[in-house]
Amino acid sequence: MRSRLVTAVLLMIGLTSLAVGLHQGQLGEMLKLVVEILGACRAGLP
Amino acid sequence: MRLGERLRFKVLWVRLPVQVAFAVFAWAVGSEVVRSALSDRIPEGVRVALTPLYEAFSLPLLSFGAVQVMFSKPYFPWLPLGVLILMPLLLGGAFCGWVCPFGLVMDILSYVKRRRAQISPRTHVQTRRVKYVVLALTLIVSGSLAAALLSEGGGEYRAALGAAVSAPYYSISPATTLFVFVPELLVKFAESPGIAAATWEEQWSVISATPPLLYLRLAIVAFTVLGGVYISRFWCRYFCPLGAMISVFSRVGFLGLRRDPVKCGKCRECVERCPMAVRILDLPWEKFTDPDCTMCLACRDACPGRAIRLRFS
Repeated sequence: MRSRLVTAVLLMIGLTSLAVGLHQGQLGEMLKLVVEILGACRAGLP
Repeated sequence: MRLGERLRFKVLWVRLPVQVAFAVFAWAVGSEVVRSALSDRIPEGVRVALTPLYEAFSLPLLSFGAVQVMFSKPYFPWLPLGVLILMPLLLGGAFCGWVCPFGLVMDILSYVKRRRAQISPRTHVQTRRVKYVVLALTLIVSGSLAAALLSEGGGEYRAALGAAVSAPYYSISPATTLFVFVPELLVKFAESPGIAAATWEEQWSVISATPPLLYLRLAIVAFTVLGGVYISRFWCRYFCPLGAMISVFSRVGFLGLRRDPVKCGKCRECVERCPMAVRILDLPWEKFTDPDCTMCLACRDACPGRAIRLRFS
C-alpha cells in the first residue's frame, strides 16, 4: 500500500515535470544541447 | 541439451540487436566525423522523416547529460528530470539492459572470460553504494554551480571547474571516453602532420604535452574494461550514477518480474546467470523489482522451468 502511494506520488511528479518541460520548449533545447554535451565528452582532448 | 531446449526463444535474440542499434546511433551522433559525413549524404526528406525517431532515441540517451548541462546554464531541467523519473517507473531498469551503449560493451566483455571472479555478498552490497556516491557528487557539483550562478557569484566557481563545468560526470565517464573521446583522439593523432614519420622523442613530446585529464580518462576506461572482464556489468553494478538514479525510481516501478513458485525448481540457474548478481530466490515471488535489475531477462532465458515472466502492475 505504501509503495503504491510512493509510486503514485512519483508518477505525478514525473508527469508534472515532463509537462512543464514540454511547455517551456525544453525538447528542442535538449536536442540543441547535444553539441554542449559532446563538448563535455571531449574534455581533455589535446 | 535437447534440440527443443536449444531452439527455445531467447530474449537475448531481440535484446542484442536493440542494444547494437542504440550503440551505433550513439556512436554516429557522438562522432563528429560520422555526423558530418551523414549530414551531407542524407536527403532532406529522409532527414525530416527520421527526426521523430532521432528524438525518441535521443531522449533517454541525452537526459542525464541534459540535467547536468541545464544546471550549468543555469535553469531547471524539467524535461530530462521528468524522463529520468518516468522511464524507470514505467520500464524499470530496461534502459540499462536494452538501451545503454556502454551496457553492451560491458555485456561483450563478460564473454571474454568464462570463469568469473567470485565476490562475497557483503563486498557486493558495500561496493554498490559507490554508484550512489558518484550520483550524489555529480548532482552536488551541478546543483551548487547552478546556485552559485543564480546568486551571481559563480564566475570563479565556473572557472575552477574548468573542463568539467557543463557536465562533470561526462568529462570522466568511460562511456563518453569510449564512444566520443577515443575516436576523436585517434582521428586527431592520425591527422597530425608528419606524426607517422616523427621520431619517438617527437611523438613523446606531443604525448607529454597533453592534458592530465586525458590520462585520467584512459585510466578509468582501462580499469573498467579490466573489471568488466572479471565481473559482469562491473561499471553498471558499482559505479554508474545513471544506473543509480534509475534504481532509485525503478524499485517502486510498475514493471517487474514474477517467479511462478509451482514451476520454479530452485535450481539457482537464474541467480547464476544474472549479470547484476540479483538474489532472485530471496525476493518475493508475486512480483519483484530489485533496484539493480536491468530487465535483461537473462534469468528468464536461463530458467529450465520457464518460471520467470514479466509483470506490469
